[in-house]
Amino acid sequence: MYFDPFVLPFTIAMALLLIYLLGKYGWWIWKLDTSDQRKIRKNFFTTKTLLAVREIFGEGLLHRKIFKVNPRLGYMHMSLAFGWFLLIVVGAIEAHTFVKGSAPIYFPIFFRFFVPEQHSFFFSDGFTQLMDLLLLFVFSGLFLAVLKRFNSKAVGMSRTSRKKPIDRVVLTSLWLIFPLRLLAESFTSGFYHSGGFLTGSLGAFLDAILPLEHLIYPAWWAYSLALAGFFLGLPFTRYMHIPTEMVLIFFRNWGIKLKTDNPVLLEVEINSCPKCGICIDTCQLNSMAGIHDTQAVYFIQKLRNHEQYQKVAESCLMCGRCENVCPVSIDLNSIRLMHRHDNTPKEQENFGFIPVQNQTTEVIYFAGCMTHLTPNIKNSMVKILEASGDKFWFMDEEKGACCGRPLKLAGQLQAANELEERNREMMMQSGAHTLVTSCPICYKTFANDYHMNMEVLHHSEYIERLMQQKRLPVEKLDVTAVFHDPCELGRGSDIYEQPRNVLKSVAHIVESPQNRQDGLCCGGSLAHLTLSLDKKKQIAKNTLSVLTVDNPQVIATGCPLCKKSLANESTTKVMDIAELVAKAMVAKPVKERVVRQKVPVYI
Amino acid sequence: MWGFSITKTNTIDYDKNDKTLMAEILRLEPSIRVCIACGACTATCTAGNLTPFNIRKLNVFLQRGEYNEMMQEMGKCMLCGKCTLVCPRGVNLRNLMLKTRETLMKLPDANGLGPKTGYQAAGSISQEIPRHRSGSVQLVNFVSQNKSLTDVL
Repeated sequence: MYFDPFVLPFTIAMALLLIYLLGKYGWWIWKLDTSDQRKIRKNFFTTKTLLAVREIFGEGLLHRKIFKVNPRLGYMHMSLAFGWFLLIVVGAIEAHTFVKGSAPIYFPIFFRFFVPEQHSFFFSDGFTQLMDLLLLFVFSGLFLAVLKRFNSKAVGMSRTSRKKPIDRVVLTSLWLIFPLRLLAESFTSGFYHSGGFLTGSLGAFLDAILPLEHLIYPAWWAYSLALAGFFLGLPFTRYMHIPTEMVLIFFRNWGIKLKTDNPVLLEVEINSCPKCGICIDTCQLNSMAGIHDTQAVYFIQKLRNHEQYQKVAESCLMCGRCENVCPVSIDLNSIRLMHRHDNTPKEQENFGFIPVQNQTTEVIYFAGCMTHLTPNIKNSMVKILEASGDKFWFMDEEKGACCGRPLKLAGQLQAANELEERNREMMMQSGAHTLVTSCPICYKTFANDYHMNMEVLHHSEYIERLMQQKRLPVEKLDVTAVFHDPCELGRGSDIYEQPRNVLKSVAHIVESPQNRQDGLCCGGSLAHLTLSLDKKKQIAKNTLSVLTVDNPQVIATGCPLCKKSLANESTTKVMDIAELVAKAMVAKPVKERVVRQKVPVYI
Repeated sequence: MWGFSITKTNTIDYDKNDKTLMAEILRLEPSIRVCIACGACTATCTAGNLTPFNIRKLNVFLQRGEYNEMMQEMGKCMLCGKCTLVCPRGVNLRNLMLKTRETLMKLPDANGLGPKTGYQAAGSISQEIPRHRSGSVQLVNFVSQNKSLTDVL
């Protein structure tokens, strides 16, 4: 029987942790509502579970996503997570090959103590060397981790998240685990003249200068205690992300979505945040506006610690840059949005003043509030729509309301719903098959929230289609243009290529160094409720300096709000792609144009 | 008594009007102090285009401490943000509307159920995430003590 009292701290801590985790996860699954539980039952024995396992392997152990953002950080975490995982797996195989059967749970962990001499069993030498190699692999990551703690720039992070005291305690015990394991194994190997290239040679060296006989036992005790400290502290610290991320990946693959009326997935996501701080460097409020306390990692932390969060919840551009790089893919924007206060006045019709318009048409053009502030865009769109030959209705030409997304972004979900209902009714009665909008904010809500039986197109998509069908003859203008990806259009709605295709046919396109998924916010975002004007300007200026690196003649964009925010600070001309297209259009003879009639409005 | 009555006075009594709420709103959105009442916000307003909704007037009511009128108007704002974009003084009017709404909703007589976070409003209330109500306690106390304010509301 392999037993020694020093295995007790590890074994007890491990058991306690397992009981805690099983209890917690069981409670979560029990608290899911019936539709989600049905989803789990339905999807459990399908390929979705296998896909989840693959994702756990790819993201939880190999960290493909961190590698994409920051290779050094990716390597650091991969060597720790994957290295430790392999140490456990290979160690278990080695131990079970040795005993040829079952062994206590702690046996593989303390294998070298119980089996100090070199035995010859199947592949025994190979196992010894392999384990040393894996330990070295973990050490390379540990070295980077320690370096990062003292100088985060060394791993390519200009800022990392602030830690609580308990985080530091558990972090220290995590750091101690591997050096203590190395020492314990080296002492044993040195004394018994066994071990691999690392533990064996270090042991032989230490044997010459230290009385190893008396050190072996304390070293194994220390190793066991370090493991116990880490396991006991895990539920109270960020290391809870290690087991919880797996639950999150399973839940997500089984199709469970974040819900406003069921907090389970929210809890899982909050506990899955590893506080890595990748979201800090990518946040423009941090890098351009000097606001350092509102980043996603701090917001999640506030929720987890039950601290007051309203101010932080409101202070976010919701540009989605953090969501884009989050290695755990937490729904950071949605979580923030559902914690904004809903102050909709109840029991009262708030938007009864919106006139009902009746009009039958094929294509609806909805300019959006912001487009009315940039009349060039809507005039250009009217010109394009007229040239297209489609029968269209300019829905908000005179008596238009808002789409409802600004209310939603401010957390006023009830009011947004009311507005949505009113707009939807008017749109549905028209019998249109297509809805074209110039504003990505409107576009996102029309496409995602309105659930209408019609195609919703951003004007860049619509123009691209017209060009493909050769219904919009254009001549290329002799200008160079850079495309600024609006947040709601790019990361928000995944439209990157359509506006570029349009731009290619009317101008010479240049790309800015930070484009597409990595595109910057103009600073004008409606999602940030409290940002002051000078900070907005500061962000716009910084974004402009990135956009104009190659000195383009025109900054093209697809969002009236971006246009307005950038144009205020820019020396380069800022134009919407619709304006460029209208400029590049080859004029048709007047008689061919469809004459548009004024729409009577009924109040 | 004689078939005559005294016309309701139009006087604005600054001493009687309660300005606590104004102070709270100013604390939440201080940029309104630089407002020059030019009316650009009102001219561009999406809601103002459809109905007599007037942000400038609301500001005046706010400064005077006349909340009754504001209560009826505040639900009309669609928070589209055009007012903030056109403001020549850089006042964050959108947040002002939002914070005014929030502050007024905290009053016991408000016709809503008080502030809630989005996900609490939508369904079953979770106990795990505490509701944040900065300042609401003091405000409610004040309202119950101060007669002039309860009269107004």
